[in-house]
Amino acid sequence: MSEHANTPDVGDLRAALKSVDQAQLALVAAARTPVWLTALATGLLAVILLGNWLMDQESGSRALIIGLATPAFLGLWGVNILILNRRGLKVRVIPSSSAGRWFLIGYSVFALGLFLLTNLLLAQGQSWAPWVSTALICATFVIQVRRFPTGEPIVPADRQ
Amino acid sequence: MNRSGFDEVIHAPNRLQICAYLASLSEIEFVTLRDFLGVSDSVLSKHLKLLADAGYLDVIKRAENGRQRTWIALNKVGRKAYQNHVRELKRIVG
Repeated sequence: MSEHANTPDVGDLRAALKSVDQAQLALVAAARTPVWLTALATGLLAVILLGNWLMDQESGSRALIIGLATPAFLGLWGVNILILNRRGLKVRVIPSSSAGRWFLIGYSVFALGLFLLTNLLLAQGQSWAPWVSTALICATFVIQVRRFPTGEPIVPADRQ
Repeated sequence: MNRSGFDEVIHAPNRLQICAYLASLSEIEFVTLRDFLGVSDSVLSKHLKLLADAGYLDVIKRAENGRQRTWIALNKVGRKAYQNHVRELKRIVG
């Protein structure tokens, strides 16, 4: 505070905002999903997506692959929650801030849109589409779990 | 300070950081929060009591795997107060 008790010093407030950023970045580092778990989950996600688009539906192999990979993927999510719990952190499923919720909605719309577009392209004989879509969805999934493990998009105050 | 959104209870450095950690999480364990802040148990307890007295957070004690764990959560009122406070800081800083 400067001359007046009621007048906040801008430098102090800037330092306060910086401390908020630092706290959030430290939290991201602590809540980050381990590399081995990210790799396994991403591999399973790729299996689910490619299995859905490329496996033969008639023979039942598609149902088998998806039926095995999906519970395994969800199980890994459970393992991640347990790891965070042991670290003393409980992450929200739905982010609390509006920025976080928009971030989640944006990602969901992107993934769903890509999924539907791939179905359309595949129906038109574009066999490359599942591979490209799987790579894109998996890449954004990795970014999501490694950079935004709490679901909150963090933009440092000095970059706003 | 009587500015809308600016909250004297939250603005103290350690309490602002406590709210920043809690805002992104559902709950955080007492010892984890203490280690993040690098303060003693008593200092953290004092800050948590002030925030709890203001009605901003909940302290939950649970027995897990045979040991007592203390979890801290920012409630709806606290979350709103923190968001308003940060918004006000950004507005003042410009």
